[in-house]
Amino acid sequence: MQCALRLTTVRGPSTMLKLICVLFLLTALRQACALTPISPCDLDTRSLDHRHVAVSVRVLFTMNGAWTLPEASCRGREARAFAALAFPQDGNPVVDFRTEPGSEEKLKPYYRLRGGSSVACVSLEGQLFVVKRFRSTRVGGVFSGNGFGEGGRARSALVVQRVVSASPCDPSP
Amino acid sequence: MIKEDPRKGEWEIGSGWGRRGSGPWVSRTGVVPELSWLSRRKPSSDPISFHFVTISFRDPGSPVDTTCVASDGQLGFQQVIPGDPAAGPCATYTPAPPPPCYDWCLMPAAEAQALADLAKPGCGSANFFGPAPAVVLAALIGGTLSGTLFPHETIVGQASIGFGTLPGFAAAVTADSTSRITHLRHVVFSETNVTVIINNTLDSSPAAAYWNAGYTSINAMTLIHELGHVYADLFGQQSTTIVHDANKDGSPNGANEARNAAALAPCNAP
Repeated sequence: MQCALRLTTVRGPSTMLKLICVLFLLTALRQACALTPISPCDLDTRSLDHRHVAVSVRVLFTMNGAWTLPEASCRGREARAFAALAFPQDGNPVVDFRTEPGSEEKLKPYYRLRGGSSVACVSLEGQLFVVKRFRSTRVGGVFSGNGFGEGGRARSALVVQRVVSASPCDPSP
Repeated sequence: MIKEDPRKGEWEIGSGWGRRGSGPWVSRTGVVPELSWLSRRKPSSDPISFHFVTISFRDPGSPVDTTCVASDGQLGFQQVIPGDPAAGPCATYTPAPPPPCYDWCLMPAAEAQALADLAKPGCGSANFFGPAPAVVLAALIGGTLSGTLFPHETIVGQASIGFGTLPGFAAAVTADSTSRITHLRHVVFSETNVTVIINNTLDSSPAAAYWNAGYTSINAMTLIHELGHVYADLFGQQSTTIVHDANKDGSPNGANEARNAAALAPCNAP
């Protein structure tokens, strides 16, 4: 406060305004870049759109894609609280970073390109994208939506920047 | 006027002096210098005032390859610099490696294997109902799978197959888009377009098993699996045992994929 008063006295109000703007920009930048630890139940939260998040979550791998799995604690949100996993090189969604070297290697043992499925407990960091007006329909057995993953059926996408750890885990929540 | 300098053996060009070379002359007086040239004035103590001009010669040209006959009688090539009578040695051509087989190039083998797999007991007849899976698969790959192919089925739509970049964990995906016209909440027209995209990642490591790794039996299973999704979309879920790895609300369901793998196990039997 003393500093602000002094600036007002010495340099005038325009200098203080500039200082406030700089502080505001720095705060906004810090919020945009800071890693936000979230729960797997928060993966469909609109306010987290475009935020860099850290999450420990179960991930389902099949030959058609990879999805985070909702937890038992996500009561009433099981149908929403999941995200399609993606990598920066996929180009959807577009991000301005690359996956840290070695990260995908940690996930490869769980890939199921020949069919079947596997579930891994993954601790990862990445950028979350949440579709604002999500729509999904199911015709026959196939989904068609404006989200992410196969058929665009996931409201959210989590683009992997860094895999901290990955280990086999129980498929049931 | 050009005359030889008796002292240094150089050539006078116009008002300056130049050195002799094998290439075409360029000077400040006539021909435009091709690359660059330098000029320096002799010390004033020199009784004759003139320029010594250093001239850059024209680029003789890049070597070009011409055909020749090598010592073993085979057709070869040699490098020749234009205007230079000396030519490089005559080398024979190294045969180009055969073109790599990717994407559609691998399709005929995979399709043949898939058709053979579908004919196995417990595979085609046990997992696909309605139109013959062999016919649907051939039409899907041939780009002719549309509603008109099956006039007795109540479908309007089409399906196609192609290749694209997918996340590393996906072998293939089946995407769908349906257009509907409704009147008083009744669907009066519906058209479904199904697109199967196969991951064309180039990773031939044994564990990768992507399409372009070239494992025919794995590629055939990928085709049969995605054929199941095409059936579900075009003919309804009752037409196949293959289901998506999702619940009805779209949330992921890993148990479905385990059931798919079990259902298609007879297709992969030796």
